[in-house]
Amino acid sequence: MTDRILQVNALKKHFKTNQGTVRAIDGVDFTIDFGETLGLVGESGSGKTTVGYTVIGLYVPTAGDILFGGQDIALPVIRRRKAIKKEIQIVFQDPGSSLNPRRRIEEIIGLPLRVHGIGDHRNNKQQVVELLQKVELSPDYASKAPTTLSGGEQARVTIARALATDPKFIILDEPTAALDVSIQAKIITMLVELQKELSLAYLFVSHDLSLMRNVAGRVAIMYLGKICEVAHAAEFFQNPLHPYSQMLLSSIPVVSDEDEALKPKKTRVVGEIPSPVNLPSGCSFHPRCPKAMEICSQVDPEMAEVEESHFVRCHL
Amino acid sequence: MKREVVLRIEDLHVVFKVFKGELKVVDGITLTAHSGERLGLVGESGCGKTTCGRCIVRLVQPTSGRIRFASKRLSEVIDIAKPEMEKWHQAKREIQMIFQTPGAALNPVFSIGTQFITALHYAQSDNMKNREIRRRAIEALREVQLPDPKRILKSYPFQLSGGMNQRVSIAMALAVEPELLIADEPTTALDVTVQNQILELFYALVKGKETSLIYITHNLGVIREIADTVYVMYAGTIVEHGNPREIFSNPVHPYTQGLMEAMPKLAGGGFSKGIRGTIPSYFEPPSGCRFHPRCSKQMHTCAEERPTFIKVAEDHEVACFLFQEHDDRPNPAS
Repeated sequence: MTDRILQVNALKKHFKTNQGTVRAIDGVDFTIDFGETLGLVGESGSGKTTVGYTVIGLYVPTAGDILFGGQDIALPVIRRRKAIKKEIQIVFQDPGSSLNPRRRIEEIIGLPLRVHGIGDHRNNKQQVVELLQKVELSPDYASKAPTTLSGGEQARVTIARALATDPKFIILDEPTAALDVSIQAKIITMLVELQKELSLAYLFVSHDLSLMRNVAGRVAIMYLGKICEVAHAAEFFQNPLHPYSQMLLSSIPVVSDEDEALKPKKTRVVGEIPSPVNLPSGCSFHPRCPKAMEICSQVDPEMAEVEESHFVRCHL
Repeated sequence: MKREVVLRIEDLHVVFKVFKGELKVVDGITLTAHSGERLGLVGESGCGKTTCGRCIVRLVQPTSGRIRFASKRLSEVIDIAKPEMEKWHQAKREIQMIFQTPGAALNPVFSIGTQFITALHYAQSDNMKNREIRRRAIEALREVQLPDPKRILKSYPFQLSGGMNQRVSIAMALAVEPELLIADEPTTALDVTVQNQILELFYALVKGKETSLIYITHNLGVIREIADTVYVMYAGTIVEHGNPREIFSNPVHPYTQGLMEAMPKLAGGGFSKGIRGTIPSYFEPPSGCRFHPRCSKQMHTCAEERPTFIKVAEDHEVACFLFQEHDDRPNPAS
């Protein structure tokens, strides 16, 4: 028995369009242990959300394996076993648009309970109230409509819905991206407490590195469909090795001198993320890389373990 | 060094009348922008910071208060807040605004060139020839470091990335050499690496000229990078203002403190629980200090009176009763 809840090997997801094939994910490997948080960080268009959607089964991978507790689940979602679907849940990016405006909160949270036949349908209402309490909402929210709630409350409802089936693994796709910092802090604190209480594993997809520093056990940096660096959070923020990670870290505007000191030396940021239709040859980062060498444009580097459990994909 | 005052907002109030009643969105804002100053206006969503910016470009009509704009080119002080204004036609080119979503601010059915030339055409008082305008547009695009400006003039907004569109709107705003530039969350829709480039651009463009910048954002880190002076807003009022480095290393207002604690730190160390409660309803805003129902240090006075600004350090003022004479009894309502 391994302590891995999820193992993803050489995952690829390509989309065919009129303009050519979009290589949204182009060979991604990562693992998540039981009760661990992996932070998946990248700019928009790097493929981080696609990774989340592929793991939950909204997309069928083009190639590669997704092993959940040892079983291959790289299948379309309708062919997955119900018992496995119950264990994996997702919290979508925009809480407003992922809640049906025509349904009341109790119907939204009660649906997964009915689908998976959890409890007696007569107790359904009681269970909804318990779930609402888990996310610190009062029971009278059950009869409200999603549109009457604030952004923070909507985020709590989407989390309650994900918790309904008592999963072991939750994909959090930027759950706080649309919220203010003071509300974000509350939601994140709650997520961390829930994780401890229910021993959940999270795949936390985000573009906010400083948020990841505080919630993730390990971080994986994604650029153009590939992971370029994986390390423990504390180690990564002290010693980012990939030039892209350094660029990303040095770009974060911070509020205190203490944080400023932690940032790597200002690297000049050039260009923007290229289109995933025409990927640059070799290492996909080389046109923007300040340390690009000749080999970078020809050969795509392999993932290498530089220090203990600190992996970097770079020729340097 | 004493700098000239470009813009002075005095006791600005904005009330929106809607079906359900009156929304008191901006409630007594006073601020001053000097020439060449980079001023930051920071607060959470719904605190009235954008409304405040929109008042300055007359997209929103203030209910009361004064907005004095001392234009050098017009050589007289005008009050923007007045409903009828003959001088506005000449003054408006001196105040330019950059909006939050670059994609939505540009018209999708006209090419960048058409929009750019129209904007410049209306902004010029002297009759400039089209060829001359075009040359100015290309120059302005080059100044914001866009490669191949001729091709960009021919393209449409949807053909460009978010960062490029934002550069175009910055170029459009700066091409008429305004005295005051208002940037309303120009980098919120962009990635951090692109945000970094845009901020560097702002810094370079404003530094060399006498243009003043009012930068509206919810991101405290961005303020620290760009602003000389920061005004922290909460629910339509200003709670603390001064030098950003001083304020961020030593926040004294309970709201600013809560906001700082809620920011995820690069150094790690977890989170605070955020600020309790939510932003109050603007239909019936709390009496006295608008923050008092959420404040952990609220006192008797807070619910009754509006605090005034008190200097706590060099270039640092706060509106809070903790630093004034106050009635120490705890608030009976709490």
